[in-house]
Amino acid sequence: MTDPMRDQIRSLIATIVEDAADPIPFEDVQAMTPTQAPGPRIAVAAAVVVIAVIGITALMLGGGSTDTDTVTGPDLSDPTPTTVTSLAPDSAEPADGDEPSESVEPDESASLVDGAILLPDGFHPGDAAEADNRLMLVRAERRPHEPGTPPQEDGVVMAIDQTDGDVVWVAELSDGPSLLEISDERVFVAHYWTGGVTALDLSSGDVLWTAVPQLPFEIGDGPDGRKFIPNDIEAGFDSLWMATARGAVARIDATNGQIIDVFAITEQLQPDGVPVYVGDIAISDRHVWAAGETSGLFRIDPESGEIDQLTSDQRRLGHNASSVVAVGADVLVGGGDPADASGVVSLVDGSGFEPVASTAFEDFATVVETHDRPAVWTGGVLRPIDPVALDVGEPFDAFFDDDRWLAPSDGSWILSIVDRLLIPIPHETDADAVRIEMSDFNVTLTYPNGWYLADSSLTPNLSSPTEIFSLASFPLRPGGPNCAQIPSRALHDMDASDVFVTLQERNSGADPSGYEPRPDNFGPTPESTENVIYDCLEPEERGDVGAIHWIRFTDQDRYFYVLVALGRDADHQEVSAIWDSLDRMVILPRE
Amino acid sequence: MTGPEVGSDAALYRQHAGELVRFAAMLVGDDAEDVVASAFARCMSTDRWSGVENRRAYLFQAVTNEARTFQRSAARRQAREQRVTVDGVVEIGVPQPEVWEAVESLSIRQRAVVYLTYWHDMSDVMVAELLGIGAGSVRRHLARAREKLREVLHD
Repeated sequence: MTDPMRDQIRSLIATIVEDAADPIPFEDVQAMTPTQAPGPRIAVAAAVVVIAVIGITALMLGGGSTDTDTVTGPDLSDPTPTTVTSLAPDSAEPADGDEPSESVEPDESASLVDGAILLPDGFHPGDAAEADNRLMLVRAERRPHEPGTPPQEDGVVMAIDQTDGDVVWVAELSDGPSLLEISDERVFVAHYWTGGVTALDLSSGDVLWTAVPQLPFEIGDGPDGRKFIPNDIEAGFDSLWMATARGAVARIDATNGQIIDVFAITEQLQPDGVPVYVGDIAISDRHVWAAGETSGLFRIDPESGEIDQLTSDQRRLGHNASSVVAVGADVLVGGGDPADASGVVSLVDGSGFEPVASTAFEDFATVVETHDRPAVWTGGVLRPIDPVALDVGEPFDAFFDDDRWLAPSDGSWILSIVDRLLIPIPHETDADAVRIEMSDFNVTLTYPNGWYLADSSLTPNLSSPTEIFSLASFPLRPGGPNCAQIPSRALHDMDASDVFVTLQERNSGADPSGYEPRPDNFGPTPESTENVIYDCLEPEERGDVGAIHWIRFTDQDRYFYVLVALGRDADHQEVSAIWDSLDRMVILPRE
Repeated sequence: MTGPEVGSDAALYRQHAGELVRFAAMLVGDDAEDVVASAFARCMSTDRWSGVENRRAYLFQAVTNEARTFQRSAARRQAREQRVTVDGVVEIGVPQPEVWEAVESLSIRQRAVVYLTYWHDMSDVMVAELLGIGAGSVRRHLARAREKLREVLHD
């Protein structure tokens, strides 16, 4: 197929490459070190970079750094090329109750490319939400205004059918619509300039009501007449919860927009006297959570109104708690220190209100929800994160680009604000894994589906240490004639292709010097093979065992033995899987 | 860990420096040779370098990264010199030769994809392999780039 632009583009490239200079001699390159690399001799030949900050400051803080090497990851798209389809809105109509805006182009269209949605030209979305196969996007656009008067921003909320990309409806709103939340068949829109809320009908886009909550104290009279800047809006406990940029969380009646309560986190000031900044809200099973940036994490009891604070300098909570995602009764908190480009994600126990685990990143970390798992946005890439182990997976895609600000929506899409690009987030592919939480031992195990987890101790004569679990690629039988600590019958049952692991915990009296800290990655070491174990196995009991690794380690002030047995001909995948199961194992402190 | 093999690096540089500079010219204009030199120096200084199998692809990726770093650094310098407006919009830009009007509308990655696709007639799969990204990403970048170029070239 002829490309009508081909000649034009080739001509453009020719103009550039024909003027390209000769390479620098290799001897000069060889003499260079990375720190001695030449600086630019002329001003940058860079693109005009427009960084649009559209009301979601918390996301901006988290996604602020894109200093990262090339990211390679799984390609999300179907490998077969797809046709670019023009998607003109077929039923776009202005919503009732608002004057049509000149900024809304009736012929706005979106395109689908490899499953991604390319938004209409000029449509830089500020937030996205989804429900019933519909993706809602909001865009605000500033109008010219008289000097000395508050700027006016009109905007639109656009509903796109995720199945075919059709624009279903467009609602035109004033006062800077900037944030979206969907609940109970309604789309709630928070307005940047007034702190107001508009409720739209999910199916039609019709305006149901608009309200501007009147807060009882001065918490956000910002420049240019802004009442306060909503940073986040979430639905929960039959209410809307809106975070303000200057230290309050407002509880709003979802039926009429009236304020039910205001939680004055602003009473807690930062060291410099500035009210706590509330960057993000999450709704867990029993609480409302607010990320208070440098002031830490706040937990609100919706019944009693009681507020608890977890300061950032407490153990395992990042220096700057800027994002929070609910995981059942608990929350993941993202943050870090932008000053030294470090990041941290913490798991905070919802009941005990205490960080119980954390993981560090080389760049500021923001946690977000996707449709089936939490994710962490750090170093310019979005990766799934295990909500218990805090292990991160492969990046969702490798499309991340340059200094374009990117913000994930709380759903199935990654949202590129400036690039007007929405990339689908794939569903979790780890469907073949089994996760077992052994609450009696505070240990969670993840292992390949189809393996066998012993349903009773294989070492019934063992009193101390205690067997936590035994896992294998073959059915397990308890007992054995010798050595109470060794599940010799199970080892005898091994075939040459099998693998086996058992974990035991020393209950008391452990000599800490005999235990190494838990390794980042389990695997065989020169010290891990212990021939004495073979003394417990008669030659005829050794089956097809090829290697046995006996590892002592300590984690969470607990002391463990782990025995890994590998069949003589166990293939690489099985061997990797057994070590990987140990790597993914989550050990929490003893209660 | 063995160190860089200087002899083979010299040959490798002589073999690819020309095409890398032309590639970099599309990304950063007049600073292409500096970007290539810097990228090559970084490659040689890393421990991974000796184990890289496809060094040509690695160099193309390194040059792309170096161009992005170069662009970010320059953008930050200018950002510091400009006031952030009330609505948070920062515009960074300097007058460029006329031809850059079109290129400036593209991100670094888009420039790379356009160059390899239109100048070297590479397929999306070949571009993906060279740049270390997915073929779907290549197609998306290309679609976006074509959309931008169409606007600029038709003005």
